[in-house]
Amino acid sequence: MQSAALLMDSWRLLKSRKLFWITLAINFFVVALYGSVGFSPRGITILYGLKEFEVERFAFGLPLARELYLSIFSNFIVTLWLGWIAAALAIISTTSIFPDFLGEGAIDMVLAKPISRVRVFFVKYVGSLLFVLLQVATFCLGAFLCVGWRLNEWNWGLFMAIPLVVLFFSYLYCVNVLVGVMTRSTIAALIATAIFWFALWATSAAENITHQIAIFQETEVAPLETRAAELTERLAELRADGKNSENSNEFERVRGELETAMDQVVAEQGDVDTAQRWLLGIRIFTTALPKHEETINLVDRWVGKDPQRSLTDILMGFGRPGGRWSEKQRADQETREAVERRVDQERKAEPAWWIIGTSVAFETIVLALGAWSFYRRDF
Amino acid sequence: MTAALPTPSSADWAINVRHASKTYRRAIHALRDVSLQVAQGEIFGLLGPNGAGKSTLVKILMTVIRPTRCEGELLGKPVGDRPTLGRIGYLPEHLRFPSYLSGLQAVDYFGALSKVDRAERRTRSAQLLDQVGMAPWAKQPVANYSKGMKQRLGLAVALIADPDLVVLDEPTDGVDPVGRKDIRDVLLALKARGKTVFVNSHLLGELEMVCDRVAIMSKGTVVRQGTIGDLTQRSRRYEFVCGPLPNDAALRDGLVRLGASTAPPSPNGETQLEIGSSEADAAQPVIDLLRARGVTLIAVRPVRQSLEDLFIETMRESGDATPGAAIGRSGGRAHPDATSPKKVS
Repeated sequence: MQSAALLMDSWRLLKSRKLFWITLAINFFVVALYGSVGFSPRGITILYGLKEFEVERFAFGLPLARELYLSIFSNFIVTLWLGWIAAALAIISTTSIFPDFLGEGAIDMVLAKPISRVRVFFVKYVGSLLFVLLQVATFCLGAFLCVGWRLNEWNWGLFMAIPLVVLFFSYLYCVNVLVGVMTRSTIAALIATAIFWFALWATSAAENITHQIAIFQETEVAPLETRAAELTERLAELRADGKNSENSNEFERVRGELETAMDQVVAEQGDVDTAQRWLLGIRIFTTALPKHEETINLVDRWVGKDPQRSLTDILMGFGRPGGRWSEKQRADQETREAVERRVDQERKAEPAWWIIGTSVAFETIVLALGAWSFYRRDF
Repeated sequence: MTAALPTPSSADWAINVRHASKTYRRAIHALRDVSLQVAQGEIFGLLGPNGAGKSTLVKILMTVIRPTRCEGELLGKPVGDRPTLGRIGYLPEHLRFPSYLSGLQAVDYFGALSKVDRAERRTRSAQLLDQVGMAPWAKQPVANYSKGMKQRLGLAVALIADPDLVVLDEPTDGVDPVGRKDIRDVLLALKARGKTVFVNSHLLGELEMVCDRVAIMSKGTVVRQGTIGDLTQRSRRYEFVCGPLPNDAALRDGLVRLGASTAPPSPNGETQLEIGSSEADAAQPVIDLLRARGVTLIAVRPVRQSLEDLFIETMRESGDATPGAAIGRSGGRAHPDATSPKKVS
């Protein structure tokens, strides 16, 4: 009865917030935009068939059309709208919940009731997540209907976005609540959350870049090792042919090239080792942090599409750049894309239990600190 | 200075607190070893200047503040016992309701937190809002309420669980005279039903009208405690207002012999005398003497110190008569005989 009363109070609080209704309205608008994209026998239609683009590979019923539509949901809308904009609006809207709740004259009335402080804290926390839960649930229901209509497929996997986005939001909100409880200041909680969110993004970007450097270094060292192996083999052949005398120009040239190649391999391998060490250090650090991007990206895995194929891949049809590029530019671009693809693949290969488990562990610790602070403090 | 307490058995105390102390950062002593007993079925008033520790004590009882030390019981259970809080109604100082709730929703919400079942909440909410005069605004958002309306609503919230003990921290703060009268009536009705009421207030006149016993706090300690009658007993006296006194040595000697003190004549020629006894018998010889000497008697009345005067005297004695010790004078003097006597020589 008491928990239900606290949750009902949270619902009434949400209803009273204009930002809740504004976000919900934008949600409907985004769903309407999503539903405006469709497929015809000749390609893609937008604005409910007002405009048609003849792209054969995206014709209605083809697998790539399905991949495209689900990718728009998981790679674009969920990531950009729910993962950034709606999350930011939710943070702004919910930040004041705890500081207001803890204000003098307000919290006294609750603490003087026969309910434990720990229970009050956690039910209030869950109640605050209702903002995102209701927004995402509404959005996913709309997207589910759009997918059913446009692809003639009832994809229940779309609803996995609900717990994942709520989980993603909770990583940020737990920090917000901790600071809110400790300072009773809405501004302090908001600033701390923004800094934390930026720090998460920065560490994730740092890991991504270091990972790319490490893989790029590996790709650099591989041809050098191949070249060294070839030269070693050539040197062995020269020895076998009895052309290994000190006066043989061919032998000297091959031996010199081999020494140079080996030096380069050693130097490049050193760079690889350095990059790997940095990557390991960053990963040890990020292990303790919530995996906000990876959590959102899990939607991609669970909506029943190929998670290794990004929205860009699908739209570009894995096409290469145009003919104005030189061979060198083309090769560099291919190498860069190969590196990015490999990084992406390796990150997406991380097990879901690891992503969610380490993130939830972080959240648990932060919430435990918040609950402890709430339990101990005088009001 | 502490007056003798009533002596019910410990089970009959609604509040029985011993050695309540609260120290902040090991340096600021908000409460120092306070012991306080409130009998079941009485209305008890807690007085004190700002910063005396009244609200700290109330918040400790209501588990809002964790005491540095506190022994004792509320309604026979240890202080801090959570189920017992369901039997206590509480109206905090600086009450703040969620602005998005209506009055009815606020009563229902806090009733649910007190574990009152839905059907009972529905019935009692309407009754209580009517009782505190808030029925016409029950469905209006609290955000639109005046301070006095919020206090009335707070009282309804405090009573939703039909508590055995009601703890009110400045219940008439911001309430107009009619509202204060309504609140007093509610408190007296609670007492009539055998409920215990613990009121913390600046408004001494209000307390004087309803309280059976009071305690006065200063600098974190209880400096006086007892019934208002007991606490003001020593100040009871008879006051005589008469015409100009003749220059008569025998009259002056007689008044001194009878223990009467005289104030300088007022501009209209009236003279005021008083004797330090509240007994009517003790006043008769003074009346006889004045009449015998041809002095015109205008008025003879028994007076006693008001609670306000007692309070100010107590603050002076405890060295706490600072600007922070300012008290509310709203409500006036409660008893017809509780006037503030003019200083007499």
